[in-house]
Amino acid sequence: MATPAQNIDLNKTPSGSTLLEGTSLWKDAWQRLRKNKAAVVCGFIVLFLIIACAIGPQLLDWIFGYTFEAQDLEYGAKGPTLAPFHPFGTDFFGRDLLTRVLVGGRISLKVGLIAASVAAIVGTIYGAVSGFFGGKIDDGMMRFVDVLYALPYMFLVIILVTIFEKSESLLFVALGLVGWLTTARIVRGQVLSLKEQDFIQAARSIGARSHSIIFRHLIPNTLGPVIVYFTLTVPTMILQEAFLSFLGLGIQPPNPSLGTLMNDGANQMLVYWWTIVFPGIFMSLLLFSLNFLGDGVRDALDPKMRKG
Amino acid sequence: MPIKVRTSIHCLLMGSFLFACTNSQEGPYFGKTVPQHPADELWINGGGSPQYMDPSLIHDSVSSQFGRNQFVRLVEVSTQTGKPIPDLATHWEVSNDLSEYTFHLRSDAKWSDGKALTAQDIEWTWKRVLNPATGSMSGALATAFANASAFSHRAIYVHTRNPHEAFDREGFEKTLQSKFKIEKFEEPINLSGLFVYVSDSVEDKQKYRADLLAYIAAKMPHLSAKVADSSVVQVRALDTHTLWVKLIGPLPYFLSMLDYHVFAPVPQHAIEAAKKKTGREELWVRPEHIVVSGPYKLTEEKFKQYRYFEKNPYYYDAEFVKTPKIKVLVLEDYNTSLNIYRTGGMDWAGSNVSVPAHFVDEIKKYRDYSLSPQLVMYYFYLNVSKPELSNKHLRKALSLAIDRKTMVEKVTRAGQIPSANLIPCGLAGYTCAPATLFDPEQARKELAQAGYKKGDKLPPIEIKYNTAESHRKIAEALQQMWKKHLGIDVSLHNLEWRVFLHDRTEGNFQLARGGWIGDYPDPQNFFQLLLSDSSTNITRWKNKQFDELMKLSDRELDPSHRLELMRQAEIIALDESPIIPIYVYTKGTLKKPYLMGHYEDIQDYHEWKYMWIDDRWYNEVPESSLPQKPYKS
Repeated sequence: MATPAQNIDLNKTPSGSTLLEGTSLWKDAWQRLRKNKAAVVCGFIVLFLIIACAIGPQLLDWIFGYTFEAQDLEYGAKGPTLAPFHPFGTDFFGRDLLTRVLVGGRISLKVGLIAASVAAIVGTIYGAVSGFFGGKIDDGMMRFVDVLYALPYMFLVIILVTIFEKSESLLFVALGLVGWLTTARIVRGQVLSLKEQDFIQAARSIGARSHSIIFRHLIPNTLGPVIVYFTLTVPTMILQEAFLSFLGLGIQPPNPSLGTLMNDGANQMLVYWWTIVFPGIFMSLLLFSLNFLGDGVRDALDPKMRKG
Repeated sequence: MPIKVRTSIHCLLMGSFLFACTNSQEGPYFGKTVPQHPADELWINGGGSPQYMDPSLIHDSVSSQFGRNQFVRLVEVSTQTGKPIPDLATHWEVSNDLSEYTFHLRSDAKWSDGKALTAQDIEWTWKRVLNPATGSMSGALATAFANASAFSHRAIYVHTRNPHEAFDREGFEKTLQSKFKIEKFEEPINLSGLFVYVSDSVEDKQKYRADLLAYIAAKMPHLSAKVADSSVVQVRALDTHTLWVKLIGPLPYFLSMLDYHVFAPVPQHAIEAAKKKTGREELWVRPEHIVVSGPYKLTEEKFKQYRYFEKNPYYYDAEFVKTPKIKVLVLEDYNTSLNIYRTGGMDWAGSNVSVPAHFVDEIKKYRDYSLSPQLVMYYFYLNVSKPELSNKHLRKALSLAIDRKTMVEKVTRAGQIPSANLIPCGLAGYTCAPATLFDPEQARKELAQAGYKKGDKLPPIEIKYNTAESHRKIAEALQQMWKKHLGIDVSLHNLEWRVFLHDRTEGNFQLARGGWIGDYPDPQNFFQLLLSDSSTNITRWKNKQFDELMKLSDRELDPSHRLELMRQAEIIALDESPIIPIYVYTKGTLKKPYLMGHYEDIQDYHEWKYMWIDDRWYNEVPESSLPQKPYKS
């Protein structure tokens, strides 16, 4: 201990053998995730779907001139065909269903990602502040969360959507604003235990201010559970958007979302079976993969939980 | 073969929901042909939740079936001939100028509590409908009665105190006009004196009227003035079974009009009793308070589920009413409705939910589905009072850019007739004014003239419609047509039926869909939607010339000249386009083959009193003896 630092080669043990390269939490997690085959496959599927949603509609527009809203009433609803190229068939108005599913998937993914991000950011900051200050502030902030928890979640969203003009951005906000509660609680719990640890004491002793402690030291250390929760929130948000759109409160026509597509499909499935089958398969695949990926990330970041 | 493969995939994926899987095994009828409910009942679908149950207030199609089947009218319009036949009135006399009627009521008419139904009840009802405090939207119909409009607009009735003294009308009008804002002066029918209508621009009309009355009292002591009350209306019960009516002119449609539920007498005693008991007059239509005069009476009500109606033993024709009990389901969604119908939980799918367009081709194959023409128009109302829609060129552009033919062939698909006219052409001998079904070129010109070339700078426009698959499809197709031909974006907003009606009545919309069911087979009934003072004027469009032509037509004795006047009025209305007509409805009726007494009806009122279930149908009837489909598709 008393030996001056410059005399020691940190890569050598006292006996002279070379040390293994140190691993960080993230590296460790990444390795664990890679070993989880289901998670890797699902990750690729998610990636593929995201890419398809991102560039697919443009490609289809380019090659075939399909857009999600241009109707071809003369053509009408026809089942899947390759020539003309309608692998998912067309809907009642003669719109290419593949294009609509991809655009719908894009909107759903966007809603899922943005709403989950809003939830994660708001929840993390709120939870960290509450946990860090503790005492009366904590009590007040957490009771507020309890009150919001007690309100029926979907009703709150429906009321928000009904009061304000229906728009895509409102949907993000409405879903995100009520989705942050759980994140806030998780982060607060983490912070409560972290703030008693030595490195926080050290930061305090050198005179760091509250906000730098929260943002520099506490939040980065809570990111593990937040990311896990985030990956699991995305599919929930997609599902909730689908539910709202199914009720006619979410995305408005002619814009498709997976929810409105499935609603149309459900109404017409007696005659046009493809209008429910393809959006249904697409949505199931997306949600299934996102959930598996989320599970994989959780296992990777928190190996103790898996063992326990 | 490919069909079979597809069908089996279909079945596999959809599971037990799908009845389409079993199509090939099914008979000529859609679903069960044996009722799945108690034998003495009839189950039908009424559509959504009714807005009102009081016949004096009803003006929507869901509610009207309850009004019509519970309350008798003076006459009934025969579905076979379209002519009025006696109902509550056994016979009537008409004066030579066709504007005075004397009705003789049947002496055995009773209310469902056993009390006699009298001419006084009818007089009371009609004055109640006219009373602005009642808030009847259909009050416009009742303005057919002489002086009724003065009463319903709270005009001031001025006359000389001494009946022999001459009334200096000109001098009076001049003095008053110089001091007050006056809408118009009108000479009463059958009374001496004058009606004074206070201008619509006045904010606090009540106070203004009081000021006006005070002024007359102070300055013109020889005159007597008061706000016109119900006594000015020329409707009188001569004795308990005779009713006398004086009209504003020789209205040729007057008798047919009386079949409308607004003219059905309501029980004064029951309404007053309910008010005394509960403090709220409108509760008289609840099962525990209701007193009816018609064949059926409401006995049980489950919100958003069903209503039970039982035969009214006091109905004068009760011995011919065959079905003792009717259950009316509340189902807005056609998919649910179809499923219930198919499994035998319903005998008639009702007139308020229509088969969705994508299913029409499929269901046409069954014998229990038939199509018939209707006296109903599909419209989009434009709220002219909104600044963005006050420009007539914009309204015309919107109307011209609709490809109505494609709309009915590809979107609605049930044989509807595309129409840019306000009424079904040929109705009662009427020749429609020329109207263009579709002209995108002209539409773009009109749009440019309105100052929105290619849709630039156009404020956001929203279409409101009530939640239904069929309306959404039309709105979505419309949205795309306007985008394609005019380059403008409109948004869609769907609302639940009652909220939708409320918004539309309050003027809280830009574009709203609407269907107008002719209350009587006469063009006048469709055109009155646009009269300035009509309570059914949803568009808030006002045009003096149009009003004047309609008024002249009401007073015209020569039928062909009368139609010509209305035609001129239609030309004005089409040029201004406050309403965008889309098509003339057809009605697809889905009813079980064992349901008898369900007649084709252009107004789609099907009286329950004629309906009954013929059990010979499901007790071993040979297939060959079943009747063929009435409509060949």
